[in-house]
Amino acid sequence: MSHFDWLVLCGTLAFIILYGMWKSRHTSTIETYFLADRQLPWYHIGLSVMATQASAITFLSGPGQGFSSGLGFVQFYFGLPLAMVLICITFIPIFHKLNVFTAYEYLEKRFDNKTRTLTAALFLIQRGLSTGITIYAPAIILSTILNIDIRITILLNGILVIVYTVYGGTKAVSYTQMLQMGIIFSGLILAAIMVISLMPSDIGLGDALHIAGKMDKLKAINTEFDVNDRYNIWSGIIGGFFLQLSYFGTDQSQVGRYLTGKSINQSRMGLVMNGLLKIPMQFIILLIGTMVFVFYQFKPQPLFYNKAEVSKIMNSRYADQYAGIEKHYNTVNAEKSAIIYKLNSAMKADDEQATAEASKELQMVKAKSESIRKEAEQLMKKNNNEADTNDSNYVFLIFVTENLPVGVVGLLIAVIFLAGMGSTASGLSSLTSTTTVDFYRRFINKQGDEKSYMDFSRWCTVGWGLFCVGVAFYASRLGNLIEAVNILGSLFYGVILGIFMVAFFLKRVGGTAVFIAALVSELLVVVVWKLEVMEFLWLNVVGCLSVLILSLTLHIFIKKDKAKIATA
Amino acid sequence: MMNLSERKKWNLIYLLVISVLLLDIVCLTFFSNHFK
Repeated sequence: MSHFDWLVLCGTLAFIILYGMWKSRHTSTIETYFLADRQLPWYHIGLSVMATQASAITFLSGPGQGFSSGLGFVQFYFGLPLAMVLICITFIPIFHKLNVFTAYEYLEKRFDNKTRTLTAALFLIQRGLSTGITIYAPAIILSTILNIDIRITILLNGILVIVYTVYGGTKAVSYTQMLQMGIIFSGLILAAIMVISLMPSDIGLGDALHIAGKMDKLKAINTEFDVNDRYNIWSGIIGGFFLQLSYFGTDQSQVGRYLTGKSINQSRMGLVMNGLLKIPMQFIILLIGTMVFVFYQFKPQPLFYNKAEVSKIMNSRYADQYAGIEKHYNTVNAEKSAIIYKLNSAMKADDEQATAEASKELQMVKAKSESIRKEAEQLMKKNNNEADTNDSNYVFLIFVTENLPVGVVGLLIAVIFLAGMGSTASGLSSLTSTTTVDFYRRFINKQGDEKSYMDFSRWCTVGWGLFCVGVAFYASRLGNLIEAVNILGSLFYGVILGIFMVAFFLKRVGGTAVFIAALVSELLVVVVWKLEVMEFLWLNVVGCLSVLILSLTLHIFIKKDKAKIATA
Repeated sequence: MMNLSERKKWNLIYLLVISVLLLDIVCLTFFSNHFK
C-alpha cells in the first residue's frame, strides 16, 4: 500500500473517532452513557442499527460469497423486513413504556429474576464470543493483505474501539456509526463503479451480467424447500425471520441502539429504514463480488487468494508440484477467457446455436478449472492438515489492493476497519450495559450513585474490550467468517427469542416454566446442531418453538407458578 | 395509546415495508431469469 493510501486510511479513522469523542464529551450519567439521553432522531437510529449489523465481515465475506457462490446469500435477509414490522408493533412500545436500559430488565418485570439473569447470561456468552470474532475476522485478513503482524491489526482495531467507547459510551458509538455508514456507502458505490470500469473495453455492464449468469452466479432465488439447503427462499423467510427477530428484538447490541430514540415513532422509523435498505445493500455487496469474479475471467487469476497459505506451500517440498498445478490452472483459465469472449460475441449477435455451444464448452472448461483448484486444495492439506483452503474472504481485498488506484485502496481498507469498529463498539457497549444493569446494579451495588455506576461501566468496557481482544487472539480458523458468527448466533438466539415470545404472547405462563423450558431448549439446540440434523438457520426456529411448547406444557404442571400480569 | 389516524399511518408504513420485500423478491427473480 502506498504512503498516500496509509494517509487516507489513518486520516479517515482519526477524523471519525475524534468526531465521535467530541460529540459525546459531556457524558456523565448512565442514561447518557448507555442510551444517549434517549434523544436521537430516526435516521441516526437507522444508520446505527445498520452499522451494528454490517461488520467488517460483511464487507470481506459478502463479496467473497458473491465471488464463490453467487447471489443466493441475499435470501438470508428476506425475513428481516418482516421482523422489523413485528418489532415495531410489539417490542418497541413495551421497552419504551417500561423505560428499560436493557431488554432483559423487562423479563424480571414480566417473569422473575432468574429468567432475567439466565437470558442476560446467554446473551453475554454469545455476544462476548461474537464480538471477539468481529475483531479477529478483519484482523487476520488485513494482516495478510497489508503484510503486518496480526497482533498489530487486532490491537489496533480493539484499542481504538475501547478508547472511544469508554470515553463517550453509546453517544460516541452512534455518532461515529453515522459517519461510518456514510463512508461505507460511498466506498461501496466507488468499488462497484471501479470493478465495472476495469473490465476489458469490449465488455460492458450488461455483458458482464450475462457472463456471470451463464456461469451460474446470478441465481438469487431458490424456491425448493430443503432443510439441508443453507440458503433458499424458505430458510431465508422463516429461519431468517426468527434469527432477525431474535437479533433485533432481544440482542442488547441492537436494542441499545433503538432505545436511544427520542420517541417510540423515531425508534420505529429507524427500524423501518433498516427494513427497506438492507436487502438492496446486501444485493449490491454480493453483486460486486460476482463482478469481481467476471473481472478475473479476463485477467490472470490467482490459484489461491490467501497469500499466507500460498507462501507456506511454496516453502515446502510440494513447491514444484504446486507450481505445476498453477501453470496448468493458468492455461485452462486462458482457454476459459477465449470461450467467454466467444460466448459474449454469440450473445451479442443473438446467435442461439453458437451461444448454446459456447455455454456448453464453458461449463466443461469451468469444471476442469474447478477440479484443478480442488487438486491444489488437496495438496495444501497434504502439506499441512490445518491449512485454511477457504480463501473467499481474501478475494475482495486482493482485488482492491492489486487493481484499484492510489487513494481508493486506502479508502476501501478504511471502510473495512470502520465497519469492524462500528459493530465491535456496539457489542462492547451492550456487554457493558447488560453487565452493569442486569448484574452489578441488580446484585452487587443496588443503591449506588451515578458516579459509581459510571466508573464501573467504564472499567467494565475496558474489561470486555480486553476479553474480546483475547478471544480474537485465540480464535482459530472458522471457515467463512460471516457464517461462523451467524451459526454462533443461531445457537442462542432461538431460545432467547422463545423467552421473549412467551413473555409477550403467553401471558399466563410464569417464570419457572419458561426458565426450565429455556434450559432444556438450549440443550436441545446444541444437540441438534452437533448431530447436523439441519442447517443452522433452522436452529432459531427449533429453539424458539421448543421454548414456546415446553413452557406451555410445563405451565400445566407447575401450578404454583403464577404469571405476573405483564405491565405492557 | 395511539389515536386512529396514527395507527392507520403506521399500518400503511408496515404495508409499505412488506410490499417492498415482495417487490425485492420479484425483481431478484426477474433479474436471475433475465441473466440466466
